[in-house]
Amino acid sequence: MKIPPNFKYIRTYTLDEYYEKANQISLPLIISGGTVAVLMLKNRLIRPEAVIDISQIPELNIVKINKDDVFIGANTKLYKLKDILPNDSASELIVKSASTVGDIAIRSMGSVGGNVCLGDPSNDLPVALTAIDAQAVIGKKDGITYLPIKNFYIKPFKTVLNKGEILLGVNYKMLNGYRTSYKKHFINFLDHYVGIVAAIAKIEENVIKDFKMAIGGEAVGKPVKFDLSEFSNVDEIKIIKERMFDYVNTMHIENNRFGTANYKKKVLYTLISRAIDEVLKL
Amino acid sequence: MKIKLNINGTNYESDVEPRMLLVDFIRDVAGLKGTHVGCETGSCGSCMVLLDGMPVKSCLMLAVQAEGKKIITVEGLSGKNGLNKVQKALSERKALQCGFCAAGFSIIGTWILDNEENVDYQKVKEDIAGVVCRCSGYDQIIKTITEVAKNE
Repeated sequence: MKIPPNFKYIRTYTLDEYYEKANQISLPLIISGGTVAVLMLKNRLIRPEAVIDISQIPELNIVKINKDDVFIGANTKLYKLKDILPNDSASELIVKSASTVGDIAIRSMGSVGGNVCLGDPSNDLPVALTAIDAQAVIGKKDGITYLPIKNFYIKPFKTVLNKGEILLGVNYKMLNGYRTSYKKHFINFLDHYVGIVAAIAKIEENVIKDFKMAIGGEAVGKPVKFDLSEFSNVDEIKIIKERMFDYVNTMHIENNRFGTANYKKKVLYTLISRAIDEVLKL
Repeated sequence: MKIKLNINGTNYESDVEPRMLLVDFIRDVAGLKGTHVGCETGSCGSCMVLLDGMPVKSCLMLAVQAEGKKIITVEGLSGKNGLNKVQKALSERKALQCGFCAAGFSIIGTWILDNEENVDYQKVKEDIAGVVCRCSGYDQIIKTITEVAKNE
């Protein structure tokens, strides 16, 4: 029987209350849905002084669809995304990635904020959000800052969030008329994704107007963004793939219990190749 | 800390440690032993319950997080007339063997029945992915839930 260590439980109802409590506690653990955080507590991988529950803060529970952009509050449950996001291509990529998280019971507990903030290389949303140039909306006592998601991660399980700060949500521009692809490769018994690839491209009459790709997963540690708009013709698929394979070859990929560097590179080649085919082949 | 949870329509009030898991509250405070503790990592789904109508894994949730929400366990699925449609069908078609995972499949099957549209084999297969059965090959479980949903 796995029992978490002792901790104080603090439920916050407003952002001000959160900032006050989070600054008072030396080692807080922030939870919204709980899934991974509770699992880490049960395995005693973390021993927080207090668990701060942010699930009741109204500002984190909203989804705002404006004329050109969308804001998803950090507490938004993953299963809800497919019903509440608009029909644009950027949202489509987010929904594709969110729908591959665990199973329906995990998606009904897990939140967008949790998926983004944990910094686990296996998490899905960071890769999709990086591909669409989304921004992290970070709240702190003296205001709000916006940071591109690609700059949000320092290393696995480490984000730029400082004590007393909170991810209010993510913001992204709607994109229309794009084709999207989301691929990942799972090692079941290690509960880890070796590689994750998200791609989004706009093609008009065989001409590539815009093409972005992000790579994540255990192989790379934190999401990496690639802008491939320099290519203009869909017939250049082979060259684009080679360029991406070259990028992968220059990356520092480690041999570890999840596989050899060579294996992980081959996984990435396959995922990249499939994603490129899916968005560029007419 | 004192918490009050509504499980199957009944309020259970208890003074618990914040670290108490929802599954432990259900089993040890409310005494509802139908919700099982299996893998304890959120993989097997034996501890699945409905929380405000959505399936959740009660081994991955603190009891305090469930305050103010309506919890339905496998015991709460059956009404005055006994087992609900999914439970009855799983039993009649011998879809389950040892029964350890019965709570999980009954909960997710009922959720599928109440929430999914155009249910087919593939959809059920995807939805039940969070519940593990080590006896059967899933086929009979999926067929049973699909058939019950189609007959709705």
